[in-house]
Amino acid sequence: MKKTLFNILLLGIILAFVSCGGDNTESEDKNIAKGLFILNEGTFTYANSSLTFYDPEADTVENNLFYKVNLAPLGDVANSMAIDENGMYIVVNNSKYVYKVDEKTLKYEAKLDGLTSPRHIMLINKNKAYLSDQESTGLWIFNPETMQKTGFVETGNTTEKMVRVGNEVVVTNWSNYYQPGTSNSTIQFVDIATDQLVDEMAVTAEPHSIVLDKNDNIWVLCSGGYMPPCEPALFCINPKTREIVKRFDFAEGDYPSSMAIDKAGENLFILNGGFGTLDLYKMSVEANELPTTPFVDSQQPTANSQSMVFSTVAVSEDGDIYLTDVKNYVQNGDVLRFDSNGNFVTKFEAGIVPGAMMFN
Amino acid sequence: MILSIFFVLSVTASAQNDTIILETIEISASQIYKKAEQKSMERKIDTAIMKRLKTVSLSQLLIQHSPVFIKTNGPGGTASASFRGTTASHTLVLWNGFQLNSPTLGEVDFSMIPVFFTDEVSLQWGSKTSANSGGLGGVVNIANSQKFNEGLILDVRQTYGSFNTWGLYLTVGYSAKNFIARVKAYRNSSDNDFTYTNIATIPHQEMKQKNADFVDYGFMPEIKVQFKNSLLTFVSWNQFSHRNYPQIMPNVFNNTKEYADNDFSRNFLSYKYYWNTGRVEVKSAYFHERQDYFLESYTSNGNPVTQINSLNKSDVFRQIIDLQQDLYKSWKLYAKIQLDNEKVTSSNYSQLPTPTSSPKRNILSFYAAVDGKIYDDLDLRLTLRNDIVDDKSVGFFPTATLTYRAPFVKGLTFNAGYSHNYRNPTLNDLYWNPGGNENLKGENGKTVDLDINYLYENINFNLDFRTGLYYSKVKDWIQWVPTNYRYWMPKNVSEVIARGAEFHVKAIYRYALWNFSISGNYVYSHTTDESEYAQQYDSDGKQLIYIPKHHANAFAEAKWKTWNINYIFEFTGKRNTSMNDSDFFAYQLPYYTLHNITLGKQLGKFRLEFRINNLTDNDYQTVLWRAMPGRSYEVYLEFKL
Repeated sequence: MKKTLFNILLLGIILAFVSCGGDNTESEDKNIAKGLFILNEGTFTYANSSLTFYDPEADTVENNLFYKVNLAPLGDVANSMAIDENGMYIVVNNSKYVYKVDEKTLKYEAKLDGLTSPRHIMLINKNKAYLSDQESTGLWIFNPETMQKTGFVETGNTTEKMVRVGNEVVVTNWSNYYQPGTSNSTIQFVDIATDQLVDEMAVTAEPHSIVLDKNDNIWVLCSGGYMPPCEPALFCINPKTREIVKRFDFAEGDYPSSMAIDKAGENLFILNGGFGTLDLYKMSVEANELPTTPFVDSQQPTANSQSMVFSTVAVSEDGDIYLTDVKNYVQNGDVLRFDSNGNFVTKFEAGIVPGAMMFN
Repeated sequence: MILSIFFVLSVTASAQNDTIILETIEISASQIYKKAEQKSMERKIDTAIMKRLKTVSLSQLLIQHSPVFIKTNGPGGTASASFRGTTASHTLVLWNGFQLNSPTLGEVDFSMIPVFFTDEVSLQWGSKTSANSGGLGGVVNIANSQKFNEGLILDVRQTYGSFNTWGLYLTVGYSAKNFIARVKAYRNSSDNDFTYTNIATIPHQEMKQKNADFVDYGFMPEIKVQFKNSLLTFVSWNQFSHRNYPQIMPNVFNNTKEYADNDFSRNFLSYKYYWNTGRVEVKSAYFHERQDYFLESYTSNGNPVTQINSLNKSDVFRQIIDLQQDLYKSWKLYAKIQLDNEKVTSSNYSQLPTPTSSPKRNILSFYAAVDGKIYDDLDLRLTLRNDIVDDKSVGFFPTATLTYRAPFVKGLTFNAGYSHNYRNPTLNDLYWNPGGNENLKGENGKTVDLDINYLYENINFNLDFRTGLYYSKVKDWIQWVPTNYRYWMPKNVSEVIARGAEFHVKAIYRYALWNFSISGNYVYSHTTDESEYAQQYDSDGKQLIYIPKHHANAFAEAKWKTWNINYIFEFTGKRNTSMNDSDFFAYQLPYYTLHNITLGKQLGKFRLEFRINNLTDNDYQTVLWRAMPGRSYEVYLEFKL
């Protein structure tokens, strides 16, 4: 009996030596069609960000593209994307780098690092781009062709989203959490010829999104801050005269947190709601009041579906609206597609915490 | 310097007869078997193994020799436990009866407990955890015990290993007939700059771990005085550590600085009074703990940006009166009254709208238990506890345990238990800024379990086989859930069911001058959230994050005269790192195995060991993207009077 027992154990030990988990998969070749990229943030410090591509024509979706092509993770908390003739750029916030990949094959090409907390890219031309930063007070200047840093525009505040108006870039100052004493309730104007800060304007706390409409006015969505007293508001600003054309105040407790504009620059799509629920609202740039009825209700957007946790909205060239549903943040979220009238078309699974969306 | 101390000591030592030591070990092993037979829902870690692993942390002892799963961030990184399919905050750690779980986080970092500072480690589960709140998964008991009348105590252990890892462990003292004075002191440090393959960079590359060095040191004076019918004990556990934390694999090129300083002083005074039919113990503890966690990055002009500088200080007083009294025949009564005062000062609470940046909590707990024989082979144990948290009763918590010793097979026992317990929200859950939720209720757990133990002993062969089955349901399980306000908030949303089985086997075989022993644990744990909240997101039925469904360990040792060789095997099954239930790398970590070997030789009062850890140089991750060392070596030298 003792002998048998020992033999069984010995066998177990030998078997245990034989193999170890984890298999190395082969790199896959891709040829990306025309469609929508979805960047999934993943979980903070888990480095499980991922890249999803959706082909609206064929209604097909593919997840984990970056890993499949490059056999390495995209990084920790991927935040935004940009694309130009040089390639595609992916800003990975907590890994503090920007990856450049081929926009067709998604093969890794180069990396820009030495950043503090990179957020968004504004491509100026073939050799120049701005990169906002949540912890450094200004904009990094880099060459997207060589992926080398070429300078820094000191603005005195940390920087977030950008929009280009003629020879100026307007940037929002969204956070002063890591730079106490700086502003988190302004927008700033940077001259792209001189790379100098030329002006700034006050809005309310946490200007989150910024878009340009058909009248060449900019719209700034301020979520109002995360601690009371909050002042959530939407501003329509004439960037030339630096005047506030219109101001809309949201109700107390509202938390507007994402905004997109259609191709014609006529309609704004705003995610707004209260604690735990954000619905999608559609608003004409000519409107003089905030919309009161949701365009897409997160609680009942489709038949026999559960309530959704929307985080980002995007509008395609042909007017289709895409919304990310992050669910409970610890599993793959969904992307929902609606037509321009708000009718549900389809939904598909993306990665963990789907966030930024970009059409190629 | 460290080495020179050791050599001075070694020169003064004289050679000793080898065989005496072997005999001592054999005797202590059989004593354990006798004790094991009597205890239900409880297991003591073999003292022979404890002696071998004095220079490691409790996290390593548990992962290699117990059914408790440890999730570790690597050497010098935090290590948290999962007992019977629960999480770190459901594993209660008691030090001589006093809770060590921090009032802020609710957990214990097992890497911060040197086995060296303990004399006994035991595990309790099910109804055995009923004397305290919090141990919904189980209790890890660590205790100090030093026998009287053993004369001069002198023990020096020195380790040196790969990555410039040094350890020095010194015990000096005197054990008289009625008096013991003993001081333990240690220092352990490592550059921890091991080489690994970074599979998160493009291309993958061999690199050295950076910013992972650490130093831990501490001292523990103890005094024990025995009077005619009483015993007075004082122990003071003081420890300091500075640990740099490395970045996860994709982030290694960041110039981020991350470290933690942890200092604490834990003290207790106990007075025990005995009489013929019982005893009473009055004990009082004061713990002062300080944790500073720091994270910094650098801006465009090289200025540092402090991302996190969190300073937590806690002052905890715990008073216990513990009574044991024989009643009638085999029946005994136990009673305990405990008062805990917890106070925390934290930079994480400071921006509260209401100025309670130093929250306090008072917990008064009443506990009573009776046990005895109902029939010859059948024992019953009943317990009841009532806790009053800040003047509000949180309810009554009963347990019942039946022990049946099968008369038809000698050594076969069955234990069946039912227990009801709860866990208070942590002070972070209540007061964290932002998100802290002062309306949280405690978690409420009910468990049924069954243990089947078989013990066989003869002159040269011992076998101890244990099986445990459990099913527990925790309602109002606290989970931090996202809100639209960019911060998360803890809520009583989950209803977690943990069910599983544990198997433990230990066998010792003696033949002539040979002594073989093997032991092992296999644990199956299936833990899921079945709440409405989970159902809403299709997460119900899915294994919770970082709880392996399967894990196992095995230990085999052969001793011959003064030589010994042992082998330790660890198996950790795949673990979800998301609720996707997909085997894609970022959603689920693959299983891994580890093999460790030690060769030892006793030379009089000296003992020399050579250890190889991760013998097969396996690449693995315990926590997603945390680099782990490959093969490493260690030399161990001990002098014991």
